[in-house]
Amino acid sequence: MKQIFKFICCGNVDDGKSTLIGRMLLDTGNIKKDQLEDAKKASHKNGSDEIELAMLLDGLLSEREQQITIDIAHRYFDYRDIRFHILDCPGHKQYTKNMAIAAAEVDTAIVVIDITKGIQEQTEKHIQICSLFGLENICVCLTKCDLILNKDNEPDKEHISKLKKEISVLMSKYSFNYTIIPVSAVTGYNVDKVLCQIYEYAQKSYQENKSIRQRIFHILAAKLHQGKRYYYAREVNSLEPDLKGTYTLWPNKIPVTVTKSVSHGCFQIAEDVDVSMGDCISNCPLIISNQIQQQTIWFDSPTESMLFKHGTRVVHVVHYSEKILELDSPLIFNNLDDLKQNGFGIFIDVVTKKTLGCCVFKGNKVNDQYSEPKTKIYVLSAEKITSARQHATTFAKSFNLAPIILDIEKLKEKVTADINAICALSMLLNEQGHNVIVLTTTKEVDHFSKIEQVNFIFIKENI
Amino acid sequence: MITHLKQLENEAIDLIREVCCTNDFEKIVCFYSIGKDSSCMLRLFEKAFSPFPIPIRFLHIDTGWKFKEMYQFRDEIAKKINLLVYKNPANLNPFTDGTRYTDVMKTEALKQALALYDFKIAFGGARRDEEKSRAKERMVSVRNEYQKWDPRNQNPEIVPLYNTYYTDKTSLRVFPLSNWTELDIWEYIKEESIPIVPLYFAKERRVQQMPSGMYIATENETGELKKVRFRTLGCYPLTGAVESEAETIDEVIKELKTTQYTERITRVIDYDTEGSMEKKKKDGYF
Repeated sequence: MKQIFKFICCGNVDDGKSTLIGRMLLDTGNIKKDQLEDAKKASHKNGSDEIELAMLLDGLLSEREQQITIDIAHRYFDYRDIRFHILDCPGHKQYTKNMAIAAAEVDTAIVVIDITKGIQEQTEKHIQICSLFGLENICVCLTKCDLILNKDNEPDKEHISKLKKEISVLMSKYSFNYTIIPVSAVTGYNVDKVLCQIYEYAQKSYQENKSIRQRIFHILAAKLHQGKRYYYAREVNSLEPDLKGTYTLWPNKIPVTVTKSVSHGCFQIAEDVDVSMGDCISNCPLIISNQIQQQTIWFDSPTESMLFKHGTRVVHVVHYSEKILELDSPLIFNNLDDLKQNGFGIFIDVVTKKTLGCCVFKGNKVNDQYSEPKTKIYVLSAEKITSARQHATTFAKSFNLAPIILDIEKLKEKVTADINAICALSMLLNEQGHNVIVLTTTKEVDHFSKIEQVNFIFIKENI
Repeated sequence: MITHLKQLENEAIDLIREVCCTNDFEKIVCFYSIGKDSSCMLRLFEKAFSPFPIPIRFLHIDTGWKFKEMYQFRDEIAKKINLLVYKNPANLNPFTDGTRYTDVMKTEALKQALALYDFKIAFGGARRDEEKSRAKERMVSVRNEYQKWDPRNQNPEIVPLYNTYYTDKTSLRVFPLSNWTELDIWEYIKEESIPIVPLYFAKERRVQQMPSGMYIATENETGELKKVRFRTLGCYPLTGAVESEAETIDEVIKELKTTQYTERITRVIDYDTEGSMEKKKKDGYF
């Protein structure tokens, strides 16, 4: 039975990452004739008679021309009973963000260091990012050993042990499980040792995963079919197909029983409960909070209005500071150090919808006091009116409640609703004991005046 | 514990569900090429939404130059799914129009169809192991207002926290099979008993040898009779056949484990110039 094992290869620019991976692919028989021909042609174009192994990986034209890696390349190879998935990261300072996003996905890294140059600024930066994302294993490869041969044609031992010492000083700041292997990708020296080491890490991870009993599901949808309700969810670390068992439904902490697993991530629940997108079910404690201690890596500058996504929950950012992230609704999560896959989220710009940063949850405590308020505040507003949204959030806060925001424009589109239908919805929510805030233009305000309990915030038409 | 194939299937199903559940079904389409990868995509969509029917539409960009067997197969599949077929009225010819043919009948046609139906999200069956520029692409990949891909400025993607949003100016291409290899596809076809076009299996067929050494199927009786199969399917004048004895799925899997070449040697368009797939993708090719 084959298992997938992901790892990254990182380190400073020009230290020989792509060349090392090229060699690993070649030596494990994972490069075909036409790929080799293609690399040969490209190497020739760059004025080299030999095949430059990096050409097997650098696929973008600008990468080949500049001979640097700009973005992550995904490569796969089978070695013994493992399918390895390598994320080859760029080493150039300008593309550090691409290294960071790869580090978020894995537990293991190969860090390459050019033996003739030693530890560089980017080497340290990459190791720091590996630590931030809680990587466990690091295989440090001292590359280009063919350039420091002594008179016996062996890599110079003194040179190697000096660099090893420097590396152990650097590594003592972190808690990685690490090994150092001197290699030469060009001659193939010690590349088999690197493969064995990575294989060992893969087996270790396989053993650890076998003992994991934590199960967490982020709910995507609930749908009714022939009288039965089907729940669709994404499991945090999906390794066992059978989902049956007792769980806690978050955020309300209601016990539920999964009676039938229909297919991957699809199941039925015995109890009649209200479950919707962004909720969670788990068999282990989770943290629920809208004030989150974190560390963020920004890929772009933070903007004034941002969304935050974790699991299947998307909420609005109220305030961001270096340590604390404040959101308009709570998240259900783990600290990264407790369960990596459930320990980070992303910032998305409301306007451009670009992913701006990755936020790692660290040092949050389980808060048993938290309970979902019974009365909810619904805010009916247009998505674009962000200033109004802030007013609403402030208003809701004075009741110590988080508002639930329904986009008035989208409602109009979806329900083919006119303003009267939205009035009806407001009244219905009101009758159910919820507070409703309607953010509306002055033109439409008359319609709402018939409903007594609705609070208004007026918005100028030209916003 | 589950196998690597199950892990890949789970990853694909999770992505399909997430993109569909966070967006309007009307804005989503899945590109259907009639090939083996498309057949797997179809199965993944079925599994993702079971017991409900697949909620989105499929789209076939027809060029008029596909193999006869492909059309027959497509028409059978169309009975089970909501399939749209679009053909660029420009009607170019692969024999006389050269590289412009692919640009107009495939890339342009795709853009026209997306605009016609106002689709903002298009699923595709592309895999990263197919080609070097694809090895660099995100699973949820952003296209600008001209449907172009900017490889130097991709949206950061932290799997599985997919960013499934688009704006008025952007649209998304989604690739659930990103991390699958050609062999994985075949093992999945076997495990799931997925129907595929018979052209994938070896049989005596009329072919003609091109100057590059590649065998191309001929529609007339003048071609040489050879036992061949197709590793990829496209327009018949642009798809190379390989000599093969593999008549069953098991034999194909066995053949792939020992083959010296990747499947792209059978696609004419990849060999125009260095980085030609990257250039085509930048222009909006799938």
